[in-house]
Order: sequence, then structure tokens, then C-alpha cells
Amino acid sequence: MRMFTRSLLISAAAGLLLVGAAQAEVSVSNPFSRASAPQAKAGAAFLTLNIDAGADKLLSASSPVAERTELHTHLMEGGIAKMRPVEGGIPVNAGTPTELKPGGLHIMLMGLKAPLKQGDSFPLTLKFEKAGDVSVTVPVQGPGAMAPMQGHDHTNHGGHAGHQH
Amino acid sequence: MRRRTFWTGLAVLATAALLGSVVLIADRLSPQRAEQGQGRAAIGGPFSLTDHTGQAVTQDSLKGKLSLVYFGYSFCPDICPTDLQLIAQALDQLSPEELADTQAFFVSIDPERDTVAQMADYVALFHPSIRGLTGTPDQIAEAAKSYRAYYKKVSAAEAGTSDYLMDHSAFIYLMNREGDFVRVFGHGVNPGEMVEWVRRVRAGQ
Repeated sequence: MRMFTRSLLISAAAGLLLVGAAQAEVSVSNPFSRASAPQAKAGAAFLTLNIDAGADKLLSASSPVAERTELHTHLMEGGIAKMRPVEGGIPVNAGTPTELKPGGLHIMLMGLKAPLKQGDSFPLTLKFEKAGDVSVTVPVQGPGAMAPMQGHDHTNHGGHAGHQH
Repeated sequence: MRRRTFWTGLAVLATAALLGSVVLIADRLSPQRAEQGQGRAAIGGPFSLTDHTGQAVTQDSLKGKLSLVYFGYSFCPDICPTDLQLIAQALDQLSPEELADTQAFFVSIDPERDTVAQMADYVALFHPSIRGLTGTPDQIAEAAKSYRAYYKKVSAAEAGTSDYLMDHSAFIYLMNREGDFVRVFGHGVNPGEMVEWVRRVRAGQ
């Protein structure tokens, strides 16, 4: 009986978690990456984060294509480029898209296991403070691509097929 | 009368001082500043490096062609690919004749990672006219000093990352066929601007 109550409670808690995730729904759009050299050790992924209401935070990311994945940003100080890890995650607030784009915030892929080839794509899992894990497919574009290819909507909504709990 | 002269004099002095500081500030902010005076003499100079095919490249390799020179590193996933792509786009906009007269150098400031093979691998991504240069830490330091390029290794511990990073200045230098400095372009420059300046220099302007 006690066992039953406990599992009921766990189910209820899990249900509440799902409801919570659905309320603050993070969507990931326009992911893209850049082709890397055959022996390249590093790459980067770029994307845009939106949230319908409230706020969330991107805490980390992971991908099978890289040994390590870190959240980085670029600071330009007097013409000097400084790449640094983002501390405390990347906030996502309703009303303002959070853009991870060349020259600023990006997901740094370190220790690439294989080169990123133009035309290929790879999976990337984003871990949010509230929404949990959201998986996206990142298309690989040209080595100096500045923006996602036109005419392709790679929007992935949290809570849909890409959502993994 | 005397008092009036005093006040007029003071007003003239104050105006002159104000104008002087405005001119000074404007000059500091001017993008052309690097072109003038000491800037012209101070950017460019001796270096001795190896290109991505294993050939020796020195300051004399700049002579006879126009050169675009950029310092960066192949591990850089963001700033360097962006600027190299802009250089590649500029080269693509040149006519075959102009292209034959123009070369571009990507100079590594990360000798630890950027071997000749690594550079060959990397520059091939962008444009066949871009030559990747690397060398020993001393050779790279000499080249960076000649071009007043800044770079600094930031250890993994210091940066809080799993691998070390390089801070570096992100400027594209245009050198004329004598190997002398013409102009500097900042990160994210419009490729059309580089093309325009290549054409100006070729036209002898």
C-alpha cells in the first residue's frame, strides 16, 4: 500500500513537471553550424532561443560529434577577440529572442570526433533549467556561414517530438 | 580697454583649446588614423614563416603583389572563419587579372596547435589564394610584432574551459606591392570595401 502511494506520488510529480515544462515552452529555431577542416578539433553551433512566457535558462549542451560542449561568448575589446565561457548559463526571456550567432554567443564543440561536412547535420541536446532537455538537428553549412540557410525552417519546439524527459 | 583685451584673449585661448581637443579626439576616433603618420611606418616589417605547403615566406614574399594579411588561429570557431570568409568573398569579387595580382595570408598566432599540416587543412576550407603561415613561437612573435598584432594564450584553467584559448586582435591589413602598409580593416568588414581598396591601390590612387 505504501509502495502504491509512493508510486502514485511519483507519477503525480512527474505529471506536474511535464505541465510545468509545457507552460514555459522554449523553442529553438534556425540552428546551424560551419563546416570544419578535416583535422579540426573545434567547431561551433549557432541558434535562436525563444520562450512564450516567463523565463528559462540554457545551462549546457551536448552532442555526440564532440567530446566536450561548452557555452561560449566572444567579447571584442578594442579589436581584440576574446572567447570566454558563459558563466551561469544563457538566459532566455519572453519577448526577446536570444540569438547565438557568429561574433557572440555560441555553443563551442571541442574535441570533434569527425569533421563537420557541409550538407550533413548532427544532433545537439540543449539542457534548460526548466524545460529540461530539448534536442535539435543542426545542419552544417559553409565554413564561414553567417546565418542559417534561407527557406529552411528548422524550428524545434520543446514539448514536441524533440523533447526528452 | 585693457580689461576687454584680456577677456578677448582668454576667449580666444579657450576656443583654441576646445578646438584642439575636438581635433585630437576626432583624430583618435578616425578610422583613417592608422593610415597616417606613424601608422604607415609601424605596420608591416620583417618576418620569417612557413606556408601551408612547407615553403618559406618572408616580408619579401609580399613584393610584387597586393596582400591581405590576417592573424588568427585554426582552433577559433567563430571570429577567424568569419573574417577568412570575408577575405574569400572579396577575392571572389576580383577579376581573374586582379586576383592574380592579389594574395592573402592567414598567420597563426597559435604555434602549439597550428602545424603546417593543420594550416593546409584549414585554409583549404576558404580560398585557394589564402596561404596559411605558421612557425616557431619566436617566428610568430616576430611577425606579430612587425604587424602590431596582439595575441595572448589564455590557459584552460584561467579561461575556465577544457582547452586553452587565444585572445587575438582581429584586423585585416592591406599591403601594397612594395610590401608597405595601406590600410587596416576591422572584424566583420564588408568584402566590397576590401575590393574597392584593392582596386584603388592597383589604380595607383
